[in-house]
Amino acid sequence: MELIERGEGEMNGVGNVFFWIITFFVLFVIVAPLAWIYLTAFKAPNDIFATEAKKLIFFQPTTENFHRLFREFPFWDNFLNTVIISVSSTVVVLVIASLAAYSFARWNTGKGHLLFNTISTRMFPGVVAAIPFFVMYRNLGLLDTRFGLTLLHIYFNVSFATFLLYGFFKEIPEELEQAAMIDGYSRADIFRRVVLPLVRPGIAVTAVFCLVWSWNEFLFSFLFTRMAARPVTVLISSFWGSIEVQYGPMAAGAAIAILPTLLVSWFMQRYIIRGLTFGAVKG
Amino acid sequence: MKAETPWETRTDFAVVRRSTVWEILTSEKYFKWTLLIPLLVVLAIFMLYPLLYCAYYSFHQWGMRGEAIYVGAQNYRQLLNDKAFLEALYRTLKVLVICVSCELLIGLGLALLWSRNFPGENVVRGLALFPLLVAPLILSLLWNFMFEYDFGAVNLVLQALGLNKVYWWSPERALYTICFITIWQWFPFATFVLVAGLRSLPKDVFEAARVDGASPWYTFRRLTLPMLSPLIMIIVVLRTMWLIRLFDPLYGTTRGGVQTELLDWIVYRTAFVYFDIGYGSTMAIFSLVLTIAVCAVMFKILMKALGGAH
Amino acid sequence: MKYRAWVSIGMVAILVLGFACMVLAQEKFGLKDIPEIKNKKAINMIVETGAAWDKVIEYIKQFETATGVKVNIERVASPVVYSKENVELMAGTGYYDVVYVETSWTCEWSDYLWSLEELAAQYDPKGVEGFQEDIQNISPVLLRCGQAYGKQMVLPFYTYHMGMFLRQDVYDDPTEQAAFKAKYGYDLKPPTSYKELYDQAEFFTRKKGDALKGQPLDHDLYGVAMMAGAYQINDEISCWIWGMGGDYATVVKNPDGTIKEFVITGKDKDALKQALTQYKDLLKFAPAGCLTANFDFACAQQGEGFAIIQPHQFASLFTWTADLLKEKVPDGRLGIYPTIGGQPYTGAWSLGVAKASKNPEAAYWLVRYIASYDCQKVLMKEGGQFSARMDLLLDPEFHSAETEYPLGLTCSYLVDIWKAQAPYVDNYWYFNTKAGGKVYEMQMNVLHKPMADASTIDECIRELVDKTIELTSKFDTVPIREE
Repeated sequence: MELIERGEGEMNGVGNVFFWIITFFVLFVIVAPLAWIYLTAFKAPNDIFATEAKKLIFFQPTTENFHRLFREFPFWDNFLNTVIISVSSTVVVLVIASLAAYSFARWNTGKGHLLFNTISTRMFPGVVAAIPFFVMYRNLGLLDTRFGLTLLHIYFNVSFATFLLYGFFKEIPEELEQAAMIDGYSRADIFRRVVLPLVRPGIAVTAVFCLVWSWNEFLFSFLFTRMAARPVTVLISSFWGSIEVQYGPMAAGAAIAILPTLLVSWFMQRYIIRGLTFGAVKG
Repeated sequence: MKAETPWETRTDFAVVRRSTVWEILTSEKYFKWTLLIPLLVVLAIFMLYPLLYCAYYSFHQWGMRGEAIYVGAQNYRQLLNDKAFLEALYRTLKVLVICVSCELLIGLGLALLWSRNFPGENVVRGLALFPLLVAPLILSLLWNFMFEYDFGAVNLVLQALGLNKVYWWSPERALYTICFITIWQWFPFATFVLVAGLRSLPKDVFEAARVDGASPWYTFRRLTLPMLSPLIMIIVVLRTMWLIRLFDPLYGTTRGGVQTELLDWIVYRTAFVYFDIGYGSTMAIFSLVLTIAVCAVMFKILMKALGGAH
Repeated sequence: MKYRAWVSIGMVAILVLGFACMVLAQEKFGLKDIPEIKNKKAINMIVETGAAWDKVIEYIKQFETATGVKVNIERVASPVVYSKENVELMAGTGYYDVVYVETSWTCEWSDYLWSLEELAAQYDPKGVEGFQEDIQNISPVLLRCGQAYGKQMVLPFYTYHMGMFLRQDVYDDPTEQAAFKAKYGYDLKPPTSYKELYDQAEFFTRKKGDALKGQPLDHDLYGVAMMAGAYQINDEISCWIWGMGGDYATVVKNPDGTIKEFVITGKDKDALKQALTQYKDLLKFAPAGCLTANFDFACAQQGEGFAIIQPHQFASLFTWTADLLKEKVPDGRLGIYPTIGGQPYTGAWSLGVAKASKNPEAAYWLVRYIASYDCQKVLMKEGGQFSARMDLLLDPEFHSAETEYPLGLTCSYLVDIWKAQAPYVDNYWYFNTKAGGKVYEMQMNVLHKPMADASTIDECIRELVDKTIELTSKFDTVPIREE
């Protein structure tokens, strides 16, 4: 009966069966579509457009889609762009956001309004912001460069990263810092030697989120790149012709592109869940 | 010898000066602002510039060619009478309500189920996190095909089970299909936030309630829910902020057709298909003000909720 | 004498052969005719993904080898080609040298493009005449679609001219013919008026267990398959209103041929109302899925044998539909005919040269090369799309015993309809306004609404007229008014 109080306690036989039926159902709903990507990636066009249910699972596998993807499209170049852009933007975001989050958490700088303004930057419709950026980027020669897109991803991620880190910085007891001050540490030293080591888990969480968000970002990546700096999500979105959709290479590309994020969610699950609560629950 | 003296002096001067700036920056009074400099620079460039740009052009008629014509508040008047825009706004609210409530309900149910320790816990958690981290754009392309009428996996399975095929993208259903895709991607968020919340609840309070003979339903309503409310607020606020800007799920599916045009899509269409910068800017400013108003209220509640949880 | 006779016959033969070779060599412009390109700067272009370009891109490598100019090709999803190119053209980045143009954008982008005659005069050793001689082989309809204010801006890459697909085997069946005549009092033949289409759609709509060609059906049968989803319905409606002599707006010209104004006349609105009413009427005889269908659904319905007529479909999909039918209904056979009124929707993905290009010389030759006989043959044979070159469509290779059905049939249909439709194209509003692309985009949504009962037909027409005027006054300099 404690099931609905705190979701804990012993389960009887019926409860157990009920528990596992629901759990398996939910897992099926989650995993089936993703499994379908991987199945489709190994299908020939005829099997992709088959109208029998059994062909969903039973078919003659082929690696043709991957061959086409690698041969006819710059898949690995684009993949490399994604890696470079997401890693470099994450590093910069972490620096900027941890400084700012510390300030917000320790001194409540700007009395909450500033923190809110930071977050509200993400409420501006990106599509409209894109046009002034496009003109600015043209003048600066930043169009279709990794550096230019990295800058945009920094802007894109920095506000939520700040907010995420804010929760972690808030947890550090002020007494620790006061003690350090008595020991003669300067403010900068306290930040570097006392505070930063303590929020390392928070930084790890934030890094994961920024990496994933940047990895998955589409709109800016699509508008601000052509060939040289194009990330992999844009390539995958492009398999849509006027009278045909090439699902084979699309699925093959997606299968590879989502692999790192799947691995991250598998191995970093504890950290991710910790981050999702935005510091409201102590880990 | 004499010639060297000024050099030495200068060097000293430079050292002193450098440390002075550094000292000011890290002094008790200014340190908190120093820390914010990089953030404020980024925001000033990437936020203020487009904001001013849009504010300016929202009072002009301009399609990126020729001179912009000043038209006063005409764009705003047009916006308030624009049926398509108001419909998109209404649809966005509808999606917001449907998605947030479904995610919360599913999340709460699963959280109650999964907050205990059970064998295979890590496997379940690892798998259930997948949807959250996969690129929304890829998911929209995926679901578009899964819900296809003739070849889509969903209909093939329905058919194999002896059921009728369903037109998932029909005008009366497409918006709900979009909602489904969104809920599918985001219910793990609500679930795991609430799992974390449930696990952190103090045991003794519940012991006491049981000793007092309170019914489980009563305990759930009077103890569990109030204690979870800060987390529920987090979910509601963050999801609202993200849902108002819902864009990617439309991109690979209906592209705003079959009556699924949402707020961000109509802004996209105006700005990037029609290239009507004047009117698009007006939409952007209007929707920014609207979302900020909604979120300012929510944000206050959220900060209170965050404070309460500590 | 004998010896002399043979010699003279031989000489004549050699002369004739040589002359024939010369004529042939002159007629078909190809890679060998491209002169030395002095400007070696690499050129950039953007195209959509899909089989058509997959094959042609490989062929472009020959152009690179022959001319020494590198061609960078960016590939994006077809719905976003417009946005991607437009933002670069408007911002004046000069990045794209060759511009990929849907023909309803030709006028809109004419300020950003070189006219091809200008470039021919500058770079072509044969001058403008050589250029014009080569393009004579291109469909006059699509050439006109690629013109802006009388100048040739782009050359077609592949076309999606529409046509009516119907089940020839059913129309040729004596029992069906007799039953139809008995019921409606006239012969069963491909419809040429709305009434005939309606009668036939009604006639062929049958339940599972009813007979078709004397055999019982194991599924429901529908008279028509259409695509009332929000992507292609405006193309279908274009067929209807053009066929009735109407348009989205009437182009009024000055005596000197320049455009005076656009008028949405009462006749235009009547045609639109009639088209929408009849279209909606006809949906009774279509599978329910047609309400949200795109081309793929409609063709699949016919290919699976579930529907008898597609009143308007992209002709390029005829071969696919016919092949599907061959598989599902072995004795089935399709026929392709003009849509009601004989003025089907038309257009082509085309290529032009950007004014901001760093290398207009190479860009010009690439456009010519892609429109050439050899390249277009690759497009047709391997890319599965239809060229706009009539000489190619009439090539005996596509009209042999094996290729005549379904490929040759489509080719002949296209050539015939182009000849018949050519006089009308000049007046089609899409190809006279700078707002064509934008209005087109708007129409997709608005025209779909009454079919889904999201608005009445009158509301739909009101919205369409208002938005057409709004967009045209914003994006075109030609005045527009409603009558």
